[in-house]
Amino acid sequence: MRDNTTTHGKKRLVKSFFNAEHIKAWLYLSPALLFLLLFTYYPMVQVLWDSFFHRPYGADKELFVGFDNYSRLLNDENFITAVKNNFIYAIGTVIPSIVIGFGFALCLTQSSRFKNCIRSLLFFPTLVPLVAAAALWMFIYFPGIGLLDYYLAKLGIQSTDWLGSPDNALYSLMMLTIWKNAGFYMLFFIAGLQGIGEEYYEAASLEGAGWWQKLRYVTLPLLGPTSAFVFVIALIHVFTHVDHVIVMTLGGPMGSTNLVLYYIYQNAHEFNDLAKATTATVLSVMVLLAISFFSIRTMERGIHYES
Amino acid sequence: MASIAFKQIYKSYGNISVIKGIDLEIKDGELVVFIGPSGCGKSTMLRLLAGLEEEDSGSMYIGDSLVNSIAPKDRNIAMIFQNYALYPHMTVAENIGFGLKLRGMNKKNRIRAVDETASLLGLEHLLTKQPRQLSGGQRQRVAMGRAIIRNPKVFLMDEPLSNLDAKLRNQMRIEIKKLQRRLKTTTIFVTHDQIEAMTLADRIVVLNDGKVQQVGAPSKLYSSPVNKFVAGFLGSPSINFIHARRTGDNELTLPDGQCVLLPVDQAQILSDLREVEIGIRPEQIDIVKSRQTTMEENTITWSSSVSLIESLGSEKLVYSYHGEHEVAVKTTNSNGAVEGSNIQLSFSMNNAHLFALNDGRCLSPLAGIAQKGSI
Repeated sequence: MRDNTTTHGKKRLVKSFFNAEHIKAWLYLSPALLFLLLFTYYPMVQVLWDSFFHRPYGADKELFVGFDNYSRLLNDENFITAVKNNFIYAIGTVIPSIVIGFGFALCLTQSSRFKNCIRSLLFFPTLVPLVAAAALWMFIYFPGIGLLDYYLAKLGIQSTDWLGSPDNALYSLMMLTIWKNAGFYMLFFIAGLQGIGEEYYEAASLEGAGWWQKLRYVTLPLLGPTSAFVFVIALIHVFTHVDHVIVMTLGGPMGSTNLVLYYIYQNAHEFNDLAKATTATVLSVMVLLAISFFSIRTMERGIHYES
Repeated sequence: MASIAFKQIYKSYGNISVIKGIDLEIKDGELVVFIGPSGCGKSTMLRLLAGLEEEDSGSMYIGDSLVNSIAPKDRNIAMIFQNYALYPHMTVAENIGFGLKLRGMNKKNRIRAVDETASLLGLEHLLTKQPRQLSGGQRQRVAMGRAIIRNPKVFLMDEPLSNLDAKLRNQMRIEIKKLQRRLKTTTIFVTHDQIEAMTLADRIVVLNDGKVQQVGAPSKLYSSPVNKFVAGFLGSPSINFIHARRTGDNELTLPDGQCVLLPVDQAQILSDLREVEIGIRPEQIDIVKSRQTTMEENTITWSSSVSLIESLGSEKLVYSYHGEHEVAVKTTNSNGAVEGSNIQLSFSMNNAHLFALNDGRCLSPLAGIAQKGSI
């Protein structure tokens, strides 16, 4: 009896899965799905698989080594440095560029010809390719005669080796990143701010709110979804952009600007340690997945808008 | 609680002038309804008083204090917005208590005040909900809660019922009126719905084109409009207008050639006007059996063909054509009229309003008195 109903239920399930509506839906999805499988999911699985194999220099085939690659990676000082650098780089670029972008947006939300001009100027760095921006900033950072030192000298400040000293190099890259991204985030915040109804502010002013209270109780909470979104984008930037490292410092001096992605690149193409590069890729993909999963959850929780 | 006074208020946006010199006094504890078509300036007046817009010139008083240069938050006004402007990220309790929190009331007193207000409005069981979980009527009540909790001097309501369905609208209208009676807070209510205006108001202010057309009790505005605009705006279906030429001292000729004699007092007011419009309310027209033979001299009788009949239950709305004129009649006795049939309509000039064709002002004696009366 019971068996009967379950098989019946199963049949129904199979039937409903293959009903016309579903088939249509799958057909519509298939082109996108195909490419997603081919170029995203398949490589991800392949990389995960590869991270358990290793071909020592001179060996003629790959050997299954279990978690050996992972322990080699975690014991590699250079990897640990790259992770630490990435961490400092993340905190030191994401937070300032979001805060600055938000500040710009607050000042520039209302449209006027002047403000539109300023907006475009602030957005401009986003349009410059990172490689070009890095080349530009090399001139700015050039010790002694670079733009920055030139003006600092006028203030009586001695010339600094911005990119050549292990103490400064990472922070110099961070400056460039903030300059490049703040305007981009500003754009999202402007869109978010323009989506907040004027009546919320009017109600707040009648209820007795001043400028700060409106920001604290109205603007910030209602910008929750925008902020979460910008935060994710900013974090992804941190992990996926290394053009400036390649152009400006090659991870140096003394590994002080080595970021995880550059580390992967180096191991794969310079040191020919594909196994290590693969394993580091697996770890960073996992981190990225965790970030997007976590932040999509927060975003969804942050959406207060009426259905 | 306080009285309100507007003195010679002007406001324009760029080249478009929206408020053109408004003078108005509202008594302490009064419920005044601003009504007028879209763009007449009624919401602008509200926003000027709230301080959300700045007037070009003129002065506004709440109580004895001139409020022109006082910040909105210090005017002690509460406003209910058309879409309520409830904060979606706050609970009902937080929304209601928001003003008190901003004014630095401690948490204990605030919770007590919120509870009191909530029980006044029947919201106790919803305090922990968020606005999106509420129905339209409940949101409306939360918005009222946020307004009354601070015990402000003035309530401003900007079309607060227009997002509700018809049944709920009637119910909330009654609740607003009861609440206002109880709190005795001076209230300005803006609407374009004349039923709301007629039923809620102590006094109605009819606005058009940035000017006050007439101020008065609902029944007075209905029975004695000062001009064609007010007569046409209030009442549903709208008042019927009929063009007429003056063919004698106290004689008018209608487009169909029918002559009618005016009562002596109406005739005097016409002075040397040659053309007028007759305004007659739908409920003051009767449907009669056949052309009455013993016609009184100031009664008009028309034959017309029925185009549509709407039943309101106890009453019927009969729309018919007399020549090119569509005439609306509201009656309990339709005398067997059916769509497509010919009927006789009859009304007395004693119940009609006369309007000057050139400027639309009302010429009937009653309206004349109203115009001079306390506005």
